[in-house]
Amino acid sequence: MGNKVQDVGRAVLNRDATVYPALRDLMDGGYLHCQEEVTGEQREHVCRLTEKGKEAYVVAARAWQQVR
Amino acid sequence: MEKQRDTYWEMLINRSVQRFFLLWALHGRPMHGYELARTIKNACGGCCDPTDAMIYPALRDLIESGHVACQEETVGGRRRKVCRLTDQGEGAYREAAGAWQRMLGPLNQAVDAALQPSQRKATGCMAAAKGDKK
Repeated sequence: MGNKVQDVGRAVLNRDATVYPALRDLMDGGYLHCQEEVTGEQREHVCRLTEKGKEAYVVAARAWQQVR
Repeated sequence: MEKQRDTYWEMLINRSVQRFFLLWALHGRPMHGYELARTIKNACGGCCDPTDAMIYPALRDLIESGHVACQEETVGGRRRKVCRLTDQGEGAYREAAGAWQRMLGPLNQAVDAALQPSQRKATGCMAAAKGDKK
């Protein structure tokens, strides 16, 4: 049972062609921390920015600010 | 590559923005390569500085796909390759503008959420492209 739910979680992480590779890249780089959490009746991967991730977000916003 | 560094994001942003500005620059006005680079650079207000290494591969790609057509002409006593958008290229420009238009609202929100209110005014490429081309 537990395994099945975990498999669903993994399937969710593999689902989207652009978002999930980006998520994985950010996780590998230490910008995001994701963990399985129970929300309602489902276990889901919940992701949060790390301190490094928050810093990267502000830098990215400033770079866009130069363009728009 | 480190994502807390400006260069990472500038590279990523420039890659997509400069292609759009290339179509914008050729929209309705034929240009040669040097003129094209200068026009894009002016439009960006210095935020993107298109190099030959960006302009010529992008142009070649657009020529091969039939979006741009170039021919040699004499400009100010010099032989120059002058390029213009084909009808297909004009269509691609409108498509690209629509895609950016749909993206701008959410993008502005995400940028503003990271910045202080005093830093939020749009002043860069996108603001410049809204103005008239001189």
